[in-house]
Amino acid sequence: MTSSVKQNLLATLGLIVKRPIVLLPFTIFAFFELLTLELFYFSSGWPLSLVIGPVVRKFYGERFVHYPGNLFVLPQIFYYAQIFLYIVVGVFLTAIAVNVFRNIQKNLPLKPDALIKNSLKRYPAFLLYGIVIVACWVLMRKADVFILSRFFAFAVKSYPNAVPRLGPFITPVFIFFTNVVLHAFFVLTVPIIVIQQRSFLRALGSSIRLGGRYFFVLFTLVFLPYVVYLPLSLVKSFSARIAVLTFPEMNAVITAAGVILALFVDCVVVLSASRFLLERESLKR
Amino acid sequence: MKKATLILILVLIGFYAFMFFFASGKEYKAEKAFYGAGKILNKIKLNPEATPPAMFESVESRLENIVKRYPDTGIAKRAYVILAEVYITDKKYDRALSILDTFKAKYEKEPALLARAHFLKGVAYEKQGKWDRALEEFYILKTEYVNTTFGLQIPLYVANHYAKEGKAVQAEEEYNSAAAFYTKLEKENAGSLLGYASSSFLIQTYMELGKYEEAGRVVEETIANYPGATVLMQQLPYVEIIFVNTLKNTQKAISIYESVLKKANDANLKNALEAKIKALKSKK
Repeated sequence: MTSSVKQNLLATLGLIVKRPIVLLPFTIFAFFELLTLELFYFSSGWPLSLVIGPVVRKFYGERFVHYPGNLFVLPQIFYYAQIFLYIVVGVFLTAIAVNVFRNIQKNLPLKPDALIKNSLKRYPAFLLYGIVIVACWVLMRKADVFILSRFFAFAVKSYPNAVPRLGPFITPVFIFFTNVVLHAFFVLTVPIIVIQQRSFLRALGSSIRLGGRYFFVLFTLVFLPYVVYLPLSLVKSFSARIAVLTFPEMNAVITAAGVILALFVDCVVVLSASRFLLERESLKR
Repeated sequence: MKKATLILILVLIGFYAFMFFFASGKEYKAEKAFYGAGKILNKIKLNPEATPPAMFESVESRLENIVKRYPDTGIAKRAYVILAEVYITDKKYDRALSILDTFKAKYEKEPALLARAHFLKGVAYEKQGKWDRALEEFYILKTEYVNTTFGLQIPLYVANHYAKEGKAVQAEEEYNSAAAFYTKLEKENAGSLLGYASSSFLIQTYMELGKYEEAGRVVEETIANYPGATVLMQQLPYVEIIFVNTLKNTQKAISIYESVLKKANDANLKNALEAKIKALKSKK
């Protein structure tokens, strides 16, 4: 490795400051997310209530169509919308960001049309990647719940008072760590598709293989930027309680804060992973 | 990059502003205002006697505002009722009666709301010490709104009033009259929700009269005549209270539990019944 994790992250941050254009695809994605959040935020009013109201009523019940129930269910509904957006637009925009990054690193011109066309050609691969990673998240979440329920069932026998108090903190932290581990294996998929022009399955295989081989490096590259997100993850897990103590709109504020923070965190993670890949390529040569 | 970001932010702000002004209907604004009032009301409910007058005034003005500004919304119905209840708690009985009259006139075609209005009027008169006026309201409830929750509970409510006042003779008279009322109503509406509700009130009335044998008989009949999980959840505790704790007739309780167990499908209920039967048999 020519550069350490620290150098990689510093170089990525430096690039974001010098060439903020790399943030644009992530900004556009955050824009779509915030627009969707606004749509759901106003879904109790006409005319959105005509479309969204019956769906919410069917799955959550009448009280969640009205204030303040609509705001308590907002983070959950938005989470599903976020998954859809990520599969449909998110991975595609990430690929554009990797393209922008590669062109900057190779001193190639940044032509928006060419960048979009390039990524559009591989759109099915990005769509597939989105579906696979979401399926892995869902499975991982189920595994997390299973492990945590077993752990708490065991721990409550020895520490009956501590478990109810620490449980709400342990759960988001544990989920956060398992997400980072999962990400360490998958984070190189999109950069490999874009930079090395590999097919989806080969890119996925390479990413998992490299994830195993350079686990510590990739884990740290994902973990350090994500750690900035950890406090917000904790706040998010308590958002309903915070909203009761303050005002129901707090749920929307916390969700929006998560979107904005994720913009920067995801940018750093994707670009530092791409940098790692480029450096590995130059080493090979 | 800066220009693009600025455009995106402006679009978001513009969309928010548009939706805020055009998509937030009156209903939603009323719900928001009602939630604000509800938060203060919850604090008042904790200890109404120690609530500062400013807190009452705050919640009253918020609710008055809702019924004035959003009179045709669904939430206004609730606001009227809650406002009347707050006035009663705040001992502003005349204002409660006045708002309830407005409420009755506005929702004259909605029996459930009218029943509630009559009940609250009765309570306001009762708290004012005007029991005769209260009885007039309760009589309307008993005769015209018997198929509403408020109408159905009135005979027992009136009897309980006399019992609380220490008027034992009048209380017993009213309890007996209530028992006759609920018995007749149950027979006339057997198998329906009203019939079941009448049975439940009849059990409570017999218990107030101290006629536990009669109450137990009604419990047994109710369990047999109205099979269902909710009925069992509500009636099985009476088996414990009446047969086990009061009449000391554990054999009867066991036989009821066993007959329910035979018909039960729910595993949790089966386990609970088996445990109860086992515990009762070991006591014997």
